Amino acid sequence: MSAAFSFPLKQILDYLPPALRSLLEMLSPEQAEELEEIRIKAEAPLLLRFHREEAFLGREGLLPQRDARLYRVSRDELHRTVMLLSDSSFYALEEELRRGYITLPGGHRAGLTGRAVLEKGAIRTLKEISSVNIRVARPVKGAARELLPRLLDAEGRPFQTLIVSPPRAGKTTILRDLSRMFSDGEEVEPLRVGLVDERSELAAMRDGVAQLPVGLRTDVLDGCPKAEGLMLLLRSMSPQLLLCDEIGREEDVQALQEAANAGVKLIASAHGRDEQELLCRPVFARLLAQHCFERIVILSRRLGPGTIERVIEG
Amino acid sequence: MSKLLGAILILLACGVAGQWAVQKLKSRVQLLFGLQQGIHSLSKEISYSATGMSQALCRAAEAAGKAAPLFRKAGELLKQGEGLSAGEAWEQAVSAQELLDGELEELLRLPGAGLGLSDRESQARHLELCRERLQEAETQAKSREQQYAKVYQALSWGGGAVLVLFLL
Repeated sequence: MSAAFSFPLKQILDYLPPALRSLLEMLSPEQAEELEEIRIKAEAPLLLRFHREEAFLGREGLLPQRDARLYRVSRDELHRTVMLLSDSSFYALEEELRRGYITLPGGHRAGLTGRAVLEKGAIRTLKEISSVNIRVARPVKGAARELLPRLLDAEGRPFQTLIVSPPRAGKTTILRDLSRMFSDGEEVEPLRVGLVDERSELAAMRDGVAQLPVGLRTDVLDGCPKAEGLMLLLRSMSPQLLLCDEIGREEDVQALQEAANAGVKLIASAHGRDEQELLCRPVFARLLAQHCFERIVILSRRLGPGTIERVIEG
Repeated sequence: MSKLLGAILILLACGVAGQWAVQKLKSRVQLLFGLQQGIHSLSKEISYSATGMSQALCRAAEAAGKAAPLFRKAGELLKQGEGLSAGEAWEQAVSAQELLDGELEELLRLPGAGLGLSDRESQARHLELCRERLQEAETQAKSREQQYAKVYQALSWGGGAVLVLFLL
């Protein structure tokens, strides 16, 4: 049945131990296409989240929460999953473990929780991993088509834009598609795009090649902190448009202002339900007060991921 | 004429048997040296480059000379994605090597259990411990080679000559 699976899920199956792999292979192609998250916890049932619902998995397929036939993940299976996710190379993932997630080829993200090991009060690494949440990344070509015209000025140039949404509402997918459309000149004049992909989710670079479509004229700086990355791209690649995901730190804001002063447009995303929630965070309150963004896009999952709630003038 | 030919053949057979025994001693030294080089390379790949385990094992194979098949096999098993951990892949690769005797197998199982499971410093410490033990084994193997190589050669040729004289 796995032969009928879409490519993203096939990529993820390689990172699961055989028992969990065979369970997931029982999903129908339609269910596999709708799958968004796989939640794995020791001594607990395997939880799957789809676009509109969540369900547990048993050997007979999807089952309700209290069904006695639910498959319970063993400690060994969780341990094996972590080993496979890390290519048996925990030592190579010190930075990722500090941040609490591993980015897999294809841009999929495996979030981890466990026991934090502290050094000078900050998280040094995680050990005794207790749960894994794998989020399936899917490029959706055309996801930003509806939004794009609302982000252009009268001369067809992009506005300085902030895309705001809660998790799983399509920020990253829309940002990736905007990069592709601006870069390839789809329905706009083509631009040289610089993309800072700190979490390797937007382009999913692998051996120097983007695994997800970000556009022909896009230069990707992979795994680099946003603030440094924006400055580096500005100096080295003469971009006309900069993109980055999930800003929120003080240094990100400084870099963003620097880019704006250099005449380069920027499209960024941030976590938040709406503009009111943003205003509660000092960094964004200041940015909004200074009118650093010309457009603020609020997304939600109301009608599915990527629902455009509002586009506000900044 | 046939007696002479037979005598030459017996002498040669005994000489070759002795040479084979000497070569076996030399091979063990080369194998132990290769294993140390491989372990050293693996340790460097982990601590300096943080290379992924499967790739690190394949790169270590390039430096491991006679021990290359062990590292290559472990790397390939990991790459196959059959759900094996690095420790299990290493164990299977160790078991699959015909060149290893019981003592060496036991020694090489040491780093297997925790392979890839901890931070760089701890990985390097475990591998260094294994490398030190391999070095001790190599020193012993070298002294055995020096001790027995000449004895085996002398005995094989001498034994062959005695056998020829006896048969004649």
